[in-house]
Amino acid sequence: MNGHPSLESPADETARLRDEMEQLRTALEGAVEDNIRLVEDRDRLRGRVTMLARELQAANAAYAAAAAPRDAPQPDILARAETLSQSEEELRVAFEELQVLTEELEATNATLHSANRDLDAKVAERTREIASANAALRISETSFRAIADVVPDLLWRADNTGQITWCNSRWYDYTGQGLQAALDAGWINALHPDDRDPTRAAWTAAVNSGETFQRQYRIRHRSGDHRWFLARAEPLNDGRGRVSQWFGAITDVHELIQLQDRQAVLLAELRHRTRNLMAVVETVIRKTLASSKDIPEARGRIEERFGSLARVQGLLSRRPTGGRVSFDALLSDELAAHVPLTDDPATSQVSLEGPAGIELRSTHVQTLALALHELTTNAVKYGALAHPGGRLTVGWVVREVAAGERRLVVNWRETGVPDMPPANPDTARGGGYGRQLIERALPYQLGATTAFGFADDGVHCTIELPLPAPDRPGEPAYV
Amino acid sequence: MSESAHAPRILVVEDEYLLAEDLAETLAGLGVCVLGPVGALDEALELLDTLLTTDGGLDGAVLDVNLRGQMVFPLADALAARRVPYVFATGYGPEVLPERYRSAPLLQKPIQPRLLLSLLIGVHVLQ
Repeated sequence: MNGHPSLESPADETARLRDEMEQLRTALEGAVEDNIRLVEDRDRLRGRVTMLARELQAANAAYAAAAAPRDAPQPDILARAETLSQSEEELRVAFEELQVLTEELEATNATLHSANRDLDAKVAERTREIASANAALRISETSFRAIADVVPDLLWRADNTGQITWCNSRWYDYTGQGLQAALDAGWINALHPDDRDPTRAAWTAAVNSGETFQRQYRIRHRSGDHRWFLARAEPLNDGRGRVSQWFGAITDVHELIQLQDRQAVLLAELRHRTRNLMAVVETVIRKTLASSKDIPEARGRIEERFGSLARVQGLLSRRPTGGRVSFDALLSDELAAHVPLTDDPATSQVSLEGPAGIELRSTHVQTLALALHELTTNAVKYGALAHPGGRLTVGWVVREVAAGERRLVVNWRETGVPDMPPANPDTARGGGYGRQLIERALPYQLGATTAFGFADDGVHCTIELPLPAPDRPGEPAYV
Repeated sequence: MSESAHAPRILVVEDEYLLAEDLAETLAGLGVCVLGPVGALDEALELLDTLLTTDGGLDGAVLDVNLRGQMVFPLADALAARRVPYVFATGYGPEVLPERYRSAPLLQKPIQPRLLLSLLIGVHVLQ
């Protein structure tokens, strides 16, 4: 985050060049002033030389006039000649001065011209440099914007008072809020209403302290949905220990948060199910002990019932995440633990007739499994599967009782059982636990309708229970 | 218990049949007049109305926290409004309870019936 040379130094470079040109301009102005002064000096000197030349001319003329008529020089003429030679001397000196001045003037003129040329060259060079620096700055800004719009994050900048000054196009793509609307504190309106005040407070605190800003909040998608984001912002220093601006990135963490939530729910569900299972185990032991003649009988029944519980836990844990256990899987798992299942009706005593893949509510699976277990063990010990001529047919259909409300109707029919006991046989056979499960537990816990009875040739049981609505949104599959 | 004027009347709310039946039987064996058990929230709320208008009234309740996906808290509120003591029973940890129910007694399943009774009757006696 520290230093962003491609963003800042071209501007510095431009300022430096501007200073340098200013210095050159000042030097040029000084040289021009010098030149003007020299030209004035030269003109003054020329005037003086002209005047002296005239005086000398006049003096020569006077001398010639006076000398012509006389043979011998007269004192007056001598004085005039003296004056003349003084004037000549003055004129010579003035000429020399003029000469020196003219040379000086030529020299400064030459310097001035050369300085002017240098200045022009430097100005041209600096102009090129500035133009290229500006071009680099433009490229740098363009490529920065391009990069800023490539990343999946929402990026933004804020000034040192926390007012938003820029954000990348992702912000608009996601929120539908234009840059002008997002500027200053407008972005807060794109947040979930519940998150606005706490986020504003946290941002103000970060701006006041100059410390990294980090917070999770929900941002409204242009569709109206909200998703969770993680926002982070760092202050940029101006090199003198003061915050010059803030640079921030906002990352979509919605899926992550959902997964975390789901994990927490599943963990709680696992603990719940484990504790519930412990309680069920305790109850099964107590009930079995109470209804068994002796310990060996109780041990046998407990082992069978735990076997059934273990199978159903296996089914529940093997299903894919969010998947459900199907009725046919549950039924064949239970039956296969006791009798060979084949598709050949000639050799098999068991016939299963119903659609595969009818998914059950997960909260129903355990109790239903225990009920099917009791029906199966009774059939194996006393019913259709205890006699060579006996037959068990389990049929099931799905019935739509109302719009979106489906029920599974299971028909358990045993035939070919000789010596069906005349009355209340269940208390004599199996201790009544199975019957209690079917007639009381299934209605109580599953909202099922059940009937358990004895026909002349075997047990006849029907179970009708509610199914989960297909793809019902909002209902997790573990319910 | 046998010395009290009437057997304490306790409502059992639990959606797992085996647990409900077992708890009801055990409580009955301890001299409690068990009301219910019921396994659904709306049934429990209906039963509560009936119970409070009958002579015997209600001395306490044990509430399974999660009833087939529904939280039992409306029933807890209804009980609290009528000053009927209750105990939560759950297979979940205490974190499943919202903040304002954290002070209510919470039993982890499997429930120890005598502990339940001492909590309920204890609270009952204190009131």
